[in-house]
Amino acid sequence: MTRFKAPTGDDLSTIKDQFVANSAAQYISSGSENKINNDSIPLSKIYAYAKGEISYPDPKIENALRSSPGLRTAYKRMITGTANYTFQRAIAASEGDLPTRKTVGAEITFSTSSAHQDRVYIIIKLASVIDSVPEALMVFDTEDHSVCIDLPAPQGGIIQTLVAKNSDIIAALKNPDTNVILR
Amino acid sequence: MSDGTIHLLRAGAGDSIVEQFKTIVESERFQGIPIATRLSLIITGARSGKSQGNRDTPIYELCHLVNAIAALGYTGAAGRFEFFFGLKRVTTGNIQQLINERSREYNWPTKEHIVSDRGIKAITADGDFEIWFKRMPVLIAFFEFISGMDDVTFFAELNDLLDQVTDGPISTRNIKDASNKISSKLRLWRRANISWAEHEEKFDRITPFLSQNSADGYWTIDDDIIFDFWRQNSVLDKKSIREYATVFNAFVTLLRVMRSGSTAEAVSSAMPLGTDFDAGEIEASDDMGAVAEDWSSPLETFDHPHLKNIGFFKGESERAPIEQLMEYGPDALGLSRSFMRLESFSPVQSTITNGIRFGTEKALLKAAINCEKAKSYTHISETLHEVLEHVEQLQLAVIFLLRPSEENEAFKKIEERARKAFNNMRRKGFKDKELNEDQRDAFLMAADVLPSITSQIRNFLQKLREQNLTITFDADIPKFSEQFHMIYGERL
Amino acid sequence: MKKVAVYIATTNGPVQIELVSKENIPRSEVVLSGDFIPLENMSSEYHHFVIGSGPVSRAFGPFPNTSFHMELTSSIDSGRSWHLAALIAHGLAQNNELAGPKEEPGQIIWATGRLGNNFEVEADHLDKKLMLSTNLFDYAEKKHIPLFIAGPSGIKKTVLPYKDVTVFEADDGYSILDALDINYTNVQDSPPKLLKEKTKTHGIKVFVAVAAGVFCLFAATYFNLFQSNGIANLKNQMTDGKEESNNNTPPITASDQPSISKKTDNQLVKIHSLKPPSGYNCAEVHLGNIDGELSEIKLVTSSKFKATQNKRICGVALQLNPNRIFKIVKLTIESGKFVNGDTNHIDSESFRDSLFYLYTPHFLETPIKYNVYVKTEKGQSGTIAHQIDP
Repeated sequence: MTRFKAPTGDDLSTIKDQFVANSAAQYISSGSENKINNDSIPLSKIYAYAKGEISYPDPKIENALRSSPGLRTAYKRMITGTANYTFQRAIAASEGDLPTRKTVGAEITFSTSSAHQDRVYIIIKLASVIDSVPEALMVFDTEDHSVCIDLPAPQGGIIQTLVAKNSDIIAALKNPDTNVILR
Repeated sequence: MSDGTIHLLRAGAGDSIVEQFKTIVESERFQGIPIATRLSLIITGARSGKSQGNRDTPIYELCHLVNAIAALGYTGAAGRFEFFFGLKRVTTGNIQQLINERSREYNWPTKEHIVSDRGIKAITADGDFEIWFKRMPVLIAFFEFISGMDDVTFFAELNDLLDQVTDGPISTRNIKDASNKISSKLRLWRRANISWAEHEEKFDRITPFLSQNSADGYWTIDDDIIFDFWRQNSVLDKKSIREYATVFNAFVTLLRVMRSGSTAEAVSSAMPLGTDFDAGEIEASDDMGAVAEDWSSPLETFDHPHLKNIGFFKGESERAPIEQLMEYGPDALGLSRSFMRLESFSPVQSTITNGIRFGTEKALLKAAINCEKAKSYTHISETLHEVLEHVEQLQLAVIFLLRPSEENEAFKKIEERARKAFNNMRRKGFKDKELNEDQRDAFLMAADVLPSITSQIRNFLQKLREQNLTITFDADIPKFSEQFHMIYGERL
Repeated sequence: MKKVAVYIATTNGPVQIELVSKENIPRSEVVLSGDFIPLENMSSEYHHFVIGSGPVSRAFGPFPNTSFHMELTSSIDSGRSWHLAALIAHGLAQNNELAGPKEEPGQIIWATGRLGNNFEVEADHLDKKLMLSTNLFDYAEKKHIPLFIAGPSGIKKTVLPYKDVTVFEADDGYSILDALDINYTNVQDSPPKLLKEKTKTHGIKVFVAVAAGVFCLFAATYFNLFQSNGIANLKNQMTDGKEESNNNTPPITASDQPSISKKTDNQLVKIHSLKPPSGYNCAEVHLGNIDGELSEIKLVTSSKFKATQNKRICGVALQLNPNRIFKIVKLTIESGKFVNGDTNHIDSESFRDSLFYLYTPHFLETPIKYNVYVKTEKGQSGTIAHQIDP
């Protein structure tokens, strides 16, 4: 048996607040134990994805990003935080409809392959040789949908990679309003 | 389900909180780390244990932590993400090690921060503030939770606010401002996302009941009060509380709240933190650094990935019988009969409700309503005895595995028993006498919590010995059977 | 007209070069057919192979800034014996005569050999490579496709039981191009030396080097000149009137002192600082857009170069003595880091015109300490050390 002086007034109100909060906490806690299926992805996992610790593309994560604008924005913010280079809107069109991109320390240009007309080179020139080299190129559209490709190691400060002209990355890069990030 | 029943699980906003909560506490980096209870309390704004802080205290702590880690090189959003999202295992030990290493690298102590064995102390013009290492795992989980609030739409704003905290030298003003803004947001979110009504309803039922049943201005909470409340409220025309488990739970919650908070405290739960009392701001409580821990089930530790691979408990016969006893902890001791009722008759009630839902044949339903298959209190007690024996043997086996390499008088006294317990422990993980580092860590974790399991069972069994279990069980069967008839009888 | 298929002989079987094309890209690359990802290590080597003073540029260029794209049927893990086949493939491709993946060739060329500075051809494991190519040879035989096998001396030793096969053994790449009737321009190159001539010149050089070495050794011992203050010591000796221990030899005055430079022909390795020309910066040097200016760093002891400050340099250039053939070249970084990437696997063949560049970062926080161990074919060896300070 436990006895308490019956609270009144403000004290009762305070106890009610705490009771309600504790009860709700238990609901959350026990509810989570009873819930069997849970497809949500923790933000820590999204962060690992942003850092390249989980291989791209991960279908479950990509699906989650597709369906959640908030998650996409968070993902972009995580990537921007770890990025080596961030390119804003493209400045001028060159090489047909693929605009050159410039930022401090780097430039992205394009060149259609003469061996394979359906392919185009993405050429990234790094203005200085830095210790942490970019390993991926990511493009974000205005709704923070993103496309990513892995990059080979730079040679003499240049990263060049050959992609299909009809690839998602080229489609994204054609749009001058997209943000490009080298991570 | 009928209109009058208060449901625990409702679709809609509540579900998404549960989902988000589950995602965090069951993620690999938090598995086996007992943060679930504390995190749920922070989310709902409950005051924690013996803390004198208010519901916004964790936010204030979080802001201080953000400021402190920035001084350890986790600067800007990138640094913050690395600390709060980047840790692979969020244990007190890992965090402490990381912070100690960084503090050496960054030449702490500084004018603004000191690291001690307990945690980080921030030194400000308005006084010192301490964040304990053992508090940091739940703060990290909390950061992850609020980052994901409202389908992650608060993420950007949260980080903008936290950027202010690390702007320039440490400033209590900056930290409080950011805390207030985050607190406001969290208050709005709680209002929109947590179904308070059903919990308020419970309180609004219990408190007048207690007042009605008190003669001298004191509330009495005992086994009879709980049963009587259930009996009355399970058969109301509208909004009845049918489940005995719900009622037991509600009374335990009330007990915990009554015990933990002093009703004489003048703590405002809704006022913003600040220094100007007249403007409606209050000081962050003086003792806020000393946030005490609540009871949490010691069995949670055995969900740790390293311990899962060791055969500490067999699910059905060893862990299940003590699961609720560990969940309720000391509260089960003061309400031992109510707890036994829970263990015996709550499963019967589940059988009845499931039977109704799935159309079980009437004869079986009737048998359930008559409590024909209810586990007797003697049976429950005997099971607990068996589990206690096993846990005691486990303790000895673990002591043997962690035996000191040098001569030790204390160990010598139990060495023989410990060796025997180990040799008899034919279970996965108890094969090798010599342990590698991971195994050693796992057994150390187990060694930390096994004593509290043992003492909880022993204390409860001691309580049971004060009663005649056969007589009390025989007295309770007709009570529950009668009540089940009243609740479900029309279904027969 | 049917085209020619070119195969590189490897110790894992023959690999066809399916495509060589000029591209408007900064760096040449080698990829597997149908793939996008360049073969990293091989692409780097290939880039230097085709431009500037590389064999392709010299034979078919000049190609100061042109880049190429080469496609192979499978990757080549190690070694440089692909050079000869690649040279041939370039020659054929320039006339659109190189067979692609789906084209049945009118001829099959199988080649093995790495090309030296003067287009000399060397290769190893000839028997193994031939043995692993029997399926290809059988195919050529079956299809009545003439087979041309090209490689260094020794390749003729293995008798091949095929009817229409020509085995060409040559010590230099040009003779193979001649044999295949592939036109080349031979840009900025000293005439390829025949083995005999090489031996003779080599012999003269050895004599001169030995003579110079003996003289230097004598001078070093007598005048203690391998120390930085050697000249000062000599002057001191004159001033103090002290004599060297060898009292029978009269002291030589400073004016009589022969101009013995520390730059001796015996020096196996030299190190030069690399600076940008006036009006340019290190980024352009690192990118290869312009050549940096080299300035030799002095020895302070026989095995140690004077420490260099990073402030005004883009890096350093290691220079091997061009008159030596090096068996072992090993670079060890004791502390700090160059920004080149993998410097653990350099060898003598990493050097171009006897030079290998090591680039330093713009902001150097801690010193880079490194040493280079070399050993020549003749058994001469030594280790030199250098340090670059912030």
